[in-house]
Amino acid sequence: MRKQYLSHGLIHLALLVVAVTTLFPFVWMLSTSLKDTALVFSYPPKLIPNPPTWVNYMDAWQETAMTRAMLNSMFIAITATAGNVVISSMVAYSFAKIDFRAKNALFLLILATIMVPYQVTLIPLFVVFKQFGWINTYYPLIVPALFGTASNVFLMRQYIMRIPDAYRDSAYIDGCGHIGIWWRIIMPMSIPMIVSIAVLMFMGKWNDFLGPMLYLSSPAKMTVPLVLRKFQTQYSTKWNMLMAASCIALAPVIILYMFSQKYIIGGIMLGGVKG
Amino acid sequence: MKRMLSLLLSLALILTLAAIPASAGDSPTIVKLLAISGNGGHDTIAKTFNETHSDIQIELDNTASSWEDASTKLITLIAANMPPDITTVSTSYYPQFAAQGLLLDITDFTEANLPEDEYYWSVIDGLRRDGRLYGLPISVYTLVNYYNKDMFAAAGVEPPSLDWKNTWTMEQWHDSGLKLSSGEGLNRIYGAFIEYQLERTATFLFPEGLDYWGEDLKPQFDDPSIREIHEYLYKMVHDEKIIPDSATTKTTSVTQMFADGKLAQMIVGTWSHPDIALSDIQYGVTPTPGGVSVGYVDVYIPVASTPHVEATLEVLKYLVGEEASTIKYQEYTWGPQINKAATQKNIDIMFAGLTPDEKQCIFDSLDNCKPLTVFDKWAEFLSASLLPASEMMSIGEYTVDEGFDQLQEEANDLLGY
Repeated sequence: MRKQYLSHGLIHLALLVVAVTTLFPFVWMLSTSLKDTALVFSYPPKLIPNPPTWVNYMDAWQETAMTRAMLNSMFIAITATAGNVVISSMVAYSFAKIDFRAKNALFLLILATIMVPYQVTLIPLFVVFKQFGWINTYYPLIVPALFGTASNVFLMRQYIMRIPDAYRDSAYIDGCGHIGIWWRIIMPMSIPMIVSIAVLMFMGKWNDFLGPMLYLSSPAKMTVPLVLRKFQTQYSTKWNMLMAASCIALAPVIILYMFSQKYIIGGIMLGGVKG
Repeated sequence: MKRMLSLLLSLALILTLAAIPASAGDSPTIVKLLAISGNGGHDTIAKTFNETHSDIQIELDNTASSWEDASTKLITLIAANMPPDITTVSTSYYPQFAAQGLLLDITDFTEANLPEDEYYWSVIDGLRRDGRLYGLPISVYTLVNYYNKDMFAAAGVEPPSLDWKNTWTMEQWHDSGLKLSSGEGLNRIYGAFIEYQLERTATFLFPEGLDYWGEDLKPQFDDPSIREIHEYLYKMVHDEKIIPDSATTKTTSVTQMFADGKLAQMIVGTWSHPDIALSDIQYGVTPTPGGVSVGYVDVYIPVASTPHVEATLEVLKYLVGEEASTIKYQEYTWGPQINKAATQKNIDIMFAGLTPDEKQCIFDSLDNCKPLTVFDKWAEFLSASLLPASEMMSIGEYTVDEGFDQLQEEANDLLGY
């Protein structure tokens, strides 16, 4: 019994160390956002600034077009996420529940696209989008996501494969087609995985810097990561303002995560299990 | 199902509406300017230009915030055959774009439109490649030695003369640093600083007539005299701990250490001045030891494929002209400009906190500096070889011989020696 307590204690201690290590950068970011410039690198470092300087938040908001950037990022992230989830789940359903010729080969081909780094396709994609007249629009940041992404298709497929075929078969007998089965049976039963990939997709789009930097040029179209970089110039960084703006930018992601965290771990764990 | 379809249709409608271009009215010539954000003042410059020019309008793209980002974007735009008309780049990237024939030859235009009595031509001439000009300086920076006046007085150290021809030697700088250093561990006060980065340490090579590159760009990293100077600096970093290593300066910026009285003097670029000016300490400036600084020039480059050369050149002339230069001074975002009138008019707001003599010392550095030798593959050599090797020596993972052997080998490979 004592040995068990000791073992549990050690596990909790290890978890505590990991939790503190993970949380500390965030706490430090929050702390720096409340410091004036002189306090940012003061020695010895102060975790709790006294007095806290809330003005950084107002200045960060006013110095950049933060409201506009938040709305722009929100539009891109929500549109791309919604479309991606729908299409990825459709593709995943077809791979998980429909038999067709060369299914496995096609699935492997889709998975192979994960191996190609974004940087490799950067210039060819840019040329293609230029031909479409899509430069300095949100299309290049949204439309590719509407074709689904290999990693999301993979996770969804693994999850859907766990759903017994009997559901599909009985719906089929009741007159449902594949679209109906996907929408009425599979989607409601896949909520944990849908939430998981939606949150990951949203975070990816929300934090994307390279795409907007390359494709956008109008100040009115700036996204949050581009605005954040305004505080980090070639020759200096306004750390306290950058951290205040980062805290503001982080808020939507944290809120989203708070409401969906119970699905995320479960969803990914189940999706990772072989069906 | 209907709800699903209407959702998808709404999505398509939103996307379509988002892409509808603004209606075209009178169409002035659009000159696209790709600039880095933050440092620029280019927002104000573009706005001012656009208000006073109806036939030409500047379309500013300042989404990139570093030279690396701007270079990535420029390369992508060039590859897609839609380059901007003018871009801002650092000294490191200028040669490669010029060598690839991507830049407009502006030699004749510059010589005809930028009179010698109105512009600092010594800086402009520094951008010549085989006698031709492909860019104009945005701003010029030099290395100078900032020092904490109170710490010097407390330690009884007399700063050197402000005369670049009659300043400290490297040994005198070392001795002052030793005298100003004290304490141990986290309470260590460092007596001197120069980033152990070979672009910076060139300031100790130039007074001795040395350079990393010999005739026909033959790498000189195996030169014993160059290694000896770096052994001396290495000792100051790792044995005497007069200079903080990069592990220390990466966790606390040197300007902050300087502002906190943890660092008595530092050889840094004048680009650090806005940060230094925020500190509460009494600071001054002196020439770099040996009296030869390193000059860095950021550059406006006009792209050769611009479809409207005349408009581009007019914008380029405006960017280095008195009005735009004054904006850059007033927004306090760049160092000295090449426009003499703007520089003279704004001398009071430049280099805040320094005495007139000290300001003059900075201006004199322009006549006492040597530009870095940069070549077509410089940016590649800098990021793949020079910076990593400098970092490894700075944290003590490499000895000077290990670092310089590696640099010699990589430079030989790159340049075909």
